[in-house]
Amino acid sequence: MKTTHKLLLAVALGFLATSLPACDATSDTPADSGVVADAGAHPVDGGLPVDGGPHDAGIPDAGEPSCFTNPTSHYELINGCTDSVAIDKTPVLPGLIDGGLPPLP
Amino acid sequence: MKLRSSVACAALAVSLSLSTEARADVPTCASLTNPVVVAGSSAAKGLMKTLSAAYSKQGTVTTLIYQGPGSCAGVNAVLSDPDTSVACPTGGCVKGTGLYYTVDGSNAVIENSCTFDDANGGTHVDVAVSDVFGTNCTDGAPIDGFLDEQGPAEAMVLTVPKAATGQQAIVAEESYFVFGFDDSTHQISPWTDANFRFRRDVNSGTQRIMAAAIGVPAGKWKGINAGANGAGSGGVLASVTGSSSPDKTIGLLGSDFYDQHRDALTQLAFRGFKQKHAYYTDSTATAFDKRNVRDGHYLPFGYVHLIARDAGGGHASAKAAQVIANVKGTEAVTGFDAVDAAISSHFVPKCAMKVQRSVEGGNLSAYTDAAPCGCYFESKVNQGGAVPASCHTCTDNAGCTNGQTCDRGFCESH
Repeated sequence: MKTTHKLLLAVALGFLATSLPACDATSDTPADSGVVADAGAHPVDGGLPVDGGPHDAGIPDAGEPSCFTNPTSHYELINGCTDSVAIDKTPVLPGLIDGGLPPLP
Repeated sequence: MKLRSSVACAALAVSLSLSTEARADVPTCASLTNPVVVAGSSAAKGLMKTLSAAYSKQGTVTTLIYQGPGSCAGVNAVLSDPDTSVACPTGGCVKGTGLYYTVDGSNAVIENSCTFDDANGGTHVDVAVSDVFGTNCTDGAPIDGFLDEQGPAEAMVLTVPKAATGQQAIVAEESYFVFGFDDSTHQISPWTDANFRFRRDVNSGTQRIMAAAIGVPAGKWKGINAGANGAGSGGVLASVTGSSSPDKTIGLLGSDFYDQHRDALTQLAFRGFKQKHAYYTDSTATAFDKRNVRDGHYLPFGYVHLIARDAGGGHASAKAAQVIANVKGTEAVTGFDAVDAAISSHFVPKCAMKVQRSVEGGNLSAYTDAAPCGCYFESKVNQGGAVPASCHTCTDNAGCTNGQTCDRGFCESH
């Protein structure tokens, strides 16, 4: 993906993230679609791109399920459907380079 | 004056006599019955203590001696010393004191010390016990001539003091900045001061496992090595709980250690790279079921590794082979159940795992043990022995359906 497209996508997602009620950039808040922070186990039902912002953290493609019921691959296993408590966070990441993590010093 | 100096001299003589006698009470490790030396991970102490005591209780022919200098310190002591028939090479062997365990008449486990052969460069290590793959300690270089076998699983966690407010989770990208940078450009609120980031060192398996999860090599971590000078996890705990700025404070610990100090700490849920949500090690913040470690939702985990010399067709040392087989549960020893020992050490026995990995921090794949024990595990760790509704008790396979078998009193799926 070209750099320009990445930036546009990042801006769009950043706008989307800030417009969502649960997407406070500095706090860990439950997403607004069934993911509960600490009130017992609830099914994960996030259908929204909860991790908006300019970083490379698995933003789901259109049409991808919110979770995987019969996971087999690594990606599916780590995003498998579960009754466990899930927490959503939209972090503010400084010093990104083209939307990616900068090299370590 | 004469009387006082006489009393002083007598007191000094008694003191010297007593100290000499005390030193004489600490045996050399070599003098113990058929000693087998296990060195490495400090997190494995509980497991080694249980096995050492079991050997003792049998009146067995093996004395398991343990030292916990850190995962890679133990691994390097073995890898640097391929031939135990010759003198200890540089970097090989262990020095100082080791611990071994006996059981008294009331069945209490007693910790004892013995001294290694420092005068001759130290004592050879039979088995390295490590939180990480042996190749993690060699930065990827193969460890030909050695066997690396996996025991129970263990998770590593990032924690904040109970007094800290506002933070429930951390994502891998944030962790990359928190532990990879200490300049003003790459700060992650609220962990903006490196003086309040408490970590371990490059030899620590705890740090190496988390390093693989966040993309910061273990030797490049910023922050304070709170485990220095042998303090280990206890040093991190003290630093985190004693911090003058709780909100700025973050500390790295093994989940086994965290589980024993939940009154003072809060675990941060962790979201790995390419994950959609952050998860605790357990299904909730207060559970002990390690469900997310077991099914792959919690990524910073590894295994207890047992590393020993390979004779080409198996272990070069029969004693090493025995210890490893007992820890893995492939060979029984009276008084030591590998699964129960792992659970009591706050590890996850492999039979309770549903995922596996073959490289530190590597991709996960599905795993089914030959004798699954997920329901049994939860019956042991959950409050009141509660188990999920899907877990049914049984006495034999006839009591199970859908291809399940009766393992440790529960119908388990294969």
